[in-house]
Amino acid sequence: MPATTVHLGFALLVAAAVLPMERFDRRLLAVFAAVVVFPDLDSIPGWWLPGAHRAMFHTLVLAGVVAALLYYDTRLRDRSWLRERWGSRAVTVAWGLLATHLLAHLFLDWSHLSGINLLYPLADQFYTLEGELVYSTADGWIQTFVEFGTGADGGIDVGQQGSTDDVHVPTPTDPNPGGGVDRNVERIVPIAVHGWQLYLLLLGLFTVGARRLQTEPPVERSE
Amino acid sequence: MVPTLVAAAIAALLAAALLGPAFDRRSLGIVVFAALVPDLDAAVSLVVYGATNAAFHSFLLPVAAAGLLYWDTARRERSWLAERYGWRGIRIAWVALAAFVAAVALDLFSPEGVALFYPLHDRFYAVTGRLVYSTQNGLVQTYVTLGGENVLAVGSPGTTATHHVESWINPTPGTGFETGVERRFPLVERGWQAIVVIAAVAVLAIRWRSSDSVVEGGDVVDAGGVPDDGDVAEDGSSVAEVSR
Repeated sequence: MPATTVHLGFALLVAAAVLPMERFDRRLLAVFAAVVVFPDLDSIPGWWLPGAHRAMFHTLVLAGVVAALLYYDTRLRDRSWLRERWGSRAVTVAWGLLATHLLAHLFLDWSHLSGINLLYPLADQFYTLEGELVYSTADGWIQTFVEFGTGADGGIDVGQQGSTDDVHVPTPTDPNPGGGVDRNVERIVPIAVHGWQLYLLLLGLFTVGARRLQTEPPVERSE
Repeated sequence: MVPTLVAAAIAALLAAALLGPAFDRRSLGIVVFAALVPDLDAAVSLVVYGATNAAFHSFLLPVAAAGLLYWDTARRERSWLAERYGWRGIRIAWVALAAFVAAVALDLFSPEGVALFYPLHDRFYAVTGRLVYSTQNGLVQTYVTLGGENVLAVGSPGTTATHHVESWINPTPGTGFETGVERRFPLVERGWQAIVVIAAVAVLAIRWRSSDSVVEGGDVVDAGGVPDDGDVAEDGSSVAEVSR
């Protein structure tokens, strides 16, 4: 995975952008942190279920179920549990954090190493988004995200990586495939790798720092 | 250099996050434009040798701009910016400055690097490396080297004389407009950059949907103020379609 810290950085930027009017107080930041960290906890079932990391909680299916529940509770029911319990602010925050989870966690992992198991458990297949989109005066438009006729069976290659049987994304809690807790093994906790990951981390911290320092706009003082 | 579209996407996210009540299409256009300015030094490199990622990527520019902005808005008795454009003008100016710095930093944190102190000091700097904690080696950090003859050093790919940053305006080292060479205009070069662009488009779509349904007028202005630039126009028009 890009480290959870990188997700936190990019998620801070995205969350601040989708929730423009929210104050990033401690309570919101706590809920936010839980949403960002939660998917990476699927590395723990990886001890017993090989390949669980980046599959079990990194699936669009789970995000879809949460979105459906949220829609049902806030739009279809007569009385919304979320709105009654936490107020209408919570509804905005819930949708904003769901979007943040998709964009800053799932999608970012999708573009990294072995990708994510997009439709687990409906279809057990990891996908990676990697490629480029370039216009060249010599070759015209070039895009290598989706390649035709080069896949394993001559079909379309969108970065299929195999199933939970043969894809293992190493994590600090579970560095090697095979499950079980191995004591004598090097565990690497990445905080940032490559320049761009450090960049996203710093950019997120800057954004929320700036949000907290910004002065409140004057109520009526234009021109 | 990192594709300009990625810098524009980062700027759009910053605008959505930091403009607050000043967020509308015009202010978004201004902030995104500020992030495009650094990459215009590729055109300067047609005249000045090696100016790509140097001339407008110099930190002297935003430092001077920040100083001027601070002096005008905080130290003077009557701020020109505040009198002319009010609170919104000040907010937009600071966010546009942040977007400019973020666009420069995007290149600084890539292997091609940025000539940070150009033209005072001609050297490219690139912050690349890793920061990890290993149970066997402890905290490992290779972004900057501490100690040695320099107190603090980051990697350097060279000077403007030795290090050429390829761009579609000037693909080969040297000045002058060449014909008959391949020019590559990258929109997205890596998977993560695609995700940043997708995130920016999605966030703008969400913001416009919610502002259309909540605010009655005042927030959505005509799109005429958006600078006529390819990247912005693409983002702007696609978002406008989504929001309709």
